[in-house]
Amino acid sequence: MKLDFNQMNRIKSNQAYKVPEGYFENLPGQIMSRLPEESTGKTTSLFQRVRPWLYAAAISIGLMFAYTIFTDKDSEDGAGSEHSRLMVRSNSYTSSSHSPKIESEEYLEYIENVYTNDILSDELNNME
Amino acid sequence: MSQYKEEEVVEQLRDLEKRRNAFALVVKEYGEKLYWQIRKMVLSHEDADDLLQETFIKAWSNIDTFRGEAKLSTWLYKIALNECITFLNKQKANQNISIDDTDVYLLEKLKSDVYFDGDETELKLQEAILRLPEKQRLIFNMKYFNDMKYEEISEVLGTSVGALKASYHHAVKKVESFLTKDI
Repeated sequence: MKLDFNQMNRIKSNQAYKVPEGYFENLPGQIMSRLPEESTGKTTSLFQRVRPWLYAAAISIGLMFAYTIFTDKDSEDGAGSEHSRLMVRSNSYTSSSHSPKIESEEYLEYIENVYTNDILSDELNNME
Repeated sequence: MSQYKEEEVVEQLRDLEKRRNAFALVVKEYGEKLYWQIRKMVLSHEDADDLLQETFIKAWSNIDTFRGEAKLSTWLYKIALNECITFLNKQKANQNISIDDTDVYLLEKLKSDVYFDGDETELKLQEAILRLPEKQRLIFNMKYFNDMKYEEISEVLGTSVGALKASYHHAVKKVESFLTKDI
């Protein structure tokens, strides 16, 4: 003999299964009170909170470092700046295929300018 | 009474400030339905209550992973199902119950459950269902007790609709056969 329609319906509609009084009314409150504050359920560590700032700082430092490497070394004072520029140029051209004639001509010209007074004074002394 | 609107709630769940209130609406909307789905699996009210709470806690912890591609109810049900299966497996291991004796164990537990008010016939129906293989039992419960569509069950279990229909058909035959054999 099969189960009759009412019996099947009673089981299907959960009537055979009971719950405590007010269970479903209290359910949302009970569950919400158990949920952690943050939806991830994990507490955020100090490192995790600071991490974006660390990334920003690292990028800034990297950019500054790259800037100092690739920009011209004009940081020295004006008195030696022309000399230093020539020195840099001469260093950078040492192994290059650039014409040494230009380098040496410029350098000689510079040396002449620096020592002109000395050369002239020697000549003047010799004349006396 | 304000009507629950899934799209709005899902949108609010993405907003950190509105998330908690939105989740409370979800619990209110799906709490009872999920409870019964779990209860049919584990039979005991206390176990169902524990698992229901675990389901919502897990859902809350993983709310960021819900992309809105499936329905919220489907997503919640998947979590609930995993919790149930894990629980039942742990129970088997803890009680040293073999797979063949699981139905006997659960049935005995059901008989002594103060929140089960069924008569002998209803107990027999439950025994028949418990004798089904686990996956088939899931399908039977979802289809028979929860009136879920095959497409929804397919989404939850990852089984094709055709296979589900065949499985449910066999499950019904087995249950009917068990119920009528002793009479």
